Amino acid sequence: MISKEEASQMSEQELLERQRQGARRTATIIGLIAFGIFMLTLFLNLKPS
Amino acid sequence: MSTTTTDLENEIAGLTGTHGGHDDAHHGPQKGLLRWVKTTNHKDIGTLYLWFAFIMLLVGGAMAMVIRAELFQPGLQLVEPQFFNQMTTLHGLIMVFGAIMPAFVGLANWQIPLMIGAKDMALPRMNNWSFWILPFAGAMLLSTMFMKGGGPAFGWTFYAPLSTTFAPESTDFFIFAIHMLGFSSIMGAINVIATIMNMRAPGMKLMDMPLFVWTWLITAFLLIAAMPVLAGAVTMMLTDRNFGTSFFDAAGGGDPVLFQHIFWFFGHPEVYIMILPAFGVISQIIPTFARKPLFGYSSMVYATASIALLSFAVWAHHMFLTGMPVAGQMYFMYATIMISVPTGVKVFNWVTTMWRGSISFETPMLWAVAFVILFTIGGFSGLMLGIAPADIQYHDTYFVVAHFHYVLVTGALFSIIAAVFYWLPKWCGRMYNEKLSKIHFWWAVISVNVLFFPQHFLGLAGMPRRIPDYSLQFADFNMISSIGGFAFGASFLLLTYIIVDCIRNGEPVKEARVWESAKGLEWTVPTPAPYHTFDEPPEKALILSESSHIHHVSELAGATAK
Ligand code: HEM
Ligand SMILES: [Cu+2]
Repeated sequence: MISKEEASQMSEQELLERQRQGARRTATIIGLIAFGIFMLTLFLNLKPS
Repeated sequence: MSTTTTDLENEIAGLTGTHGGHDDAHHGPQKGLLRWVKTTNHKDIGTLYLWFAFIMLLVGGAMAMVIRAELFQPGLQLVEPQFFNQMTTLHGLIMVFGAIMPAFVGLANWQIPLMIGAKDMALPRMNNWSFWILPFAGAMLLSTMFMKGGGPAFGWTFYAPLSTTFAPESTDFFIFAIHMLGFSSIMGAINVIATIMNMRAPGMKLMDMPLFVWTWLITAFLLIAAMPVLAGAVTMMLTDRNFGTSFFDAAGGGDPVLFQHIFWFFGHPEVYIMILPAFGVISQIIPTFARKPLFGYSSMVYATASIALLSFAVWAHHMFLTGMPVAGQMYFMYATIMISVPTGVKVFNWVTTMWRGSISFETPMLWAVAFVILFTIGGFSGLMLGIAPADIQYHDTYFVVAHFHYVLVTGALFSIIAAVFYWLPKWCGRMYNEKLSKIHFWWAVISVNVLFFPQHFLGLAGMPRRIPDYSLQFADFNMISSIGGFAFGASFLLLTYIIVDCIRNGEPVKEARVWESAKGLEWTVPTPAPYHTFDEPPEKALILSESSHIHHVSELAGATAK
């Protein structure tokens, strides 16, 4: 979260850029977690034949 | 920059003057149909989701009418058993993945940015993509009905080997549809998390957020943890069917019961994905019409989080009859019963919020109160089913059907209807017809109980679920249930009229605060909500004064002093 104090130092444009940068990072991390869970589901069910 | 710019990018460009010099930051929507194809605006996308969900609700509802018509009398009357099974299967899949889940994503799109003082969702272009996958996935799912061998007929839980070895050819299209639906949900969840974590108005703490935003944040994490497991399950089905693996085939060293474990590891969190946002909606509406702050805000947040965590630890209560060891039955029984503690906290808080409030019963409140009462009935039958020795009797009977329709129809669906009546005037700037809406409410509430309550009795008497025919002693209650079903189905025609009439001819609403005692940032923007909102993020003092729960006194003093 961006605090009130920080935000007051920024222009509207800087604030938006900062927020979207954070959003892209969050999205990447969460996306990787989702993909990891998908692979784990498959992996846990593989049995050596 | 890419050729398709998002509103936010336009806005940045407008601010920096790199966009031909003129400020087009405040342009309205594009004209024509392409607006809807290309839109990256959270309000447009919310609208698309909601209409899609509504159409799917009507399609799934039509299938339910076929089911209830066949069950009106014992004996095979109208449809072939194979077609009947396709109806139960597609009805369940369409209601879960096509109606309830997209409707909540639509509400999230409209409301989350408005409630946290953000301009838009964090990833607007992905938002467009998440939505536009849905019509294609839905169409593919429905198209299976017209394929050789018919559509999926193995139930919405698609247990192997019915869905692998013995399934029709169309099952591969079903699998593809589920993959797409899952992909869309995961992208939607990523967007919700990224938005709530990063786009809140400066100074808005997590514990300042309205409960609808909280419950959606937690729901999004449930989606991220559960949907990939579903994707894994259908992927294994796909390879079992086409590439010679035998994950679920005992003949090749696999295990069909494994499928059930994987399915319900997804499936139980899934039912909470469909009810947590409903809890959020109800927690917004009740304080407004009881004219009191929400009782126990922080306990609501913790209860939601505990329900979400516990939901991953109870899946095998759907599998008491698969021959699991007694220790396993005991564990899953106690874990299941534990979920009713945080659920009870929530019901207690809603009732306490209403207690000694000056309540008025506008339509959204009627639906919210009906939710509290009827959802609780569904919770109680859930408790009964969670008792392992009792479930030997109840499992796979109409008692289960009654249970999940109370939690899903009078729970999830009722909360969506409540939310639409609550926020529709804000969205379109017009008021619905209160008199007709009340008639509709009573019509729906009575008929839904005529429809589902007798199913408890049928189940206790031993009528199995998913059958087109039944023995004679079940005839009376089935006929009553079908009559209720037709009446409930017809009530949606009236609902369609009420909504369309509101959007086209409703009384214009001018007040920003549509309901005079409503709290929340969404009520500080003009009515109807303009295409772009919160160009200037709201101040901390406004955030606190608009919150529908009580803040710590020191916090309030601090914010107003500055
Ligand atoms: C108070 C909490 C709840 C408890 C203790 C509970 C318990 C159970 C149990 C034990 C079953 C399995 C019954 C059987 O197959 O023999 C079941 C089925 C089901 N429950 Fe719940 N439940 C609860 C809440 C919910 C909620 C909130 C929803 C959805 C919004 C839900 C949706 C379902 C569905 C869809 C099924 C049937 C799945 C199927 O076999 O097709 N339940 N519940
Ligand atoms: Cu469950």
